[in-house]
Amino acid sequence: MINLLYPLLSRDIPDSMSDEDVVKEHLKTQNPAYFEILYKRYSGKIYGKSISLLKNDAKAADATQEIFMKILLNLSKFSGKSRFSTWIYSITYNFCIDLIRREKKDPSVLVEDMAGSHDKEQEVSDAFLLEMKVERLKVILEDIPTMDKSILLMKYQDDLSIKEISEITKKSESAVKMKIKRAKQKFRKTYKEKYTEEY
Amino acid sequence: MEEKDTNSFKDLENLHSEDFKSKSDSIKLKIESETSTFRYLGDIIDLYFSKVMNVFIAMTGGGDENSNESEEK
Repeated sequence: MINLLYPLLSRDIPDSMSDEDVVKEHLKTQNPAYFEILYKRYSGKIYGKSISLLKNDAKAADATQEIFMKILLNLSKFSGKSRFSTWIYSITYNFCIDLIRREKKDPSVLVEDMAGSHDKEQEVSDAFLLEMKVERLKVILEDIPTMDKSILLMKYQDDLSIKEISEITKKSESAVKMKIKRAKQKFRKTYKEKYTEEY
Repeated sequence: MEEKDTNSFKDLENLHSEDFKSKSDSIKLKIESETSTFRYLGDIIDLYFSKVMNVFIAMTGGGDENSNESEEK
C-alpha cells in the first residue's frame, strides 16, 4: 500500500544522503527504495569480507544474504551511537566468525591467541601491507588465521579506529593494538614463507 | 602523498565487489522475497491476531461478562 502511495525509486534518493538518514527514512516509510540504497552501498563490501573470511564463493553469497536479512530485521535496534558502517561491519565479522566457529574449521577462532608478543621482532610498516600486489595480499590473507585476518581487514580495509575495533571485538584498546601488531608480524612471516626468493 | 593513495586492501575490496556484481541481483531478489514473506506474515498477524485472541478467550470461558455473571450468582 505504501509503495502505491509513494512510488519512490532508489534513483530519486540523492547519493549525498547519509546512511543514518536512509535508515531513518526506511524505518519511517518501509519504502523498499531505501533498502535498495543500503544494498547498493554495502552488499559488495559484505560479500568481500565474507569471501575473505569464509574462503568459499557459495558460502560467502549465502552469508551476504543472511547478514542483510539480519541487518534489515535489526535496523530498528541501530542506536546511532556508532557509524552505520561500523554497525554493519560488526554484524558481518561476528556472523562469519560464528559460522567458522560452528564449523570448527579454524582453531584460532576457538581459543584465545596465547602466543607471546614478538616484541623483539622489527615493527612491520603499514606500507609493507598497503603497497603489496593484490594477488599476493589475497594469497597471504588465505593463509593467516581468521582472527588476524579480520583485525587487519577492520584496520586497513574498513578504516576503523582502535576504539571501533575494540567495540566490535569486545577487547580493550590496548589488546586491540597488540593484536594488530601480532597480526602484522604473522602476515610478514607468511609472506616470507611464500615469497622467500624476493624477501 | 602517493603512498597514502595506495591501499592493496581497498583494491582487494574493489575486486571482490566486481566479482559480486554477477551475483548481486539474485541475492537481492532472495532478500526481497524473504522480507515480503515476513511482511505478509506480519500483516496476517495484525489482521487476525486480535480476532483469534477473542475466540481463544471466549473458548476458555474468559471475558468480563462471564466473570460478572459468576460474581452475581
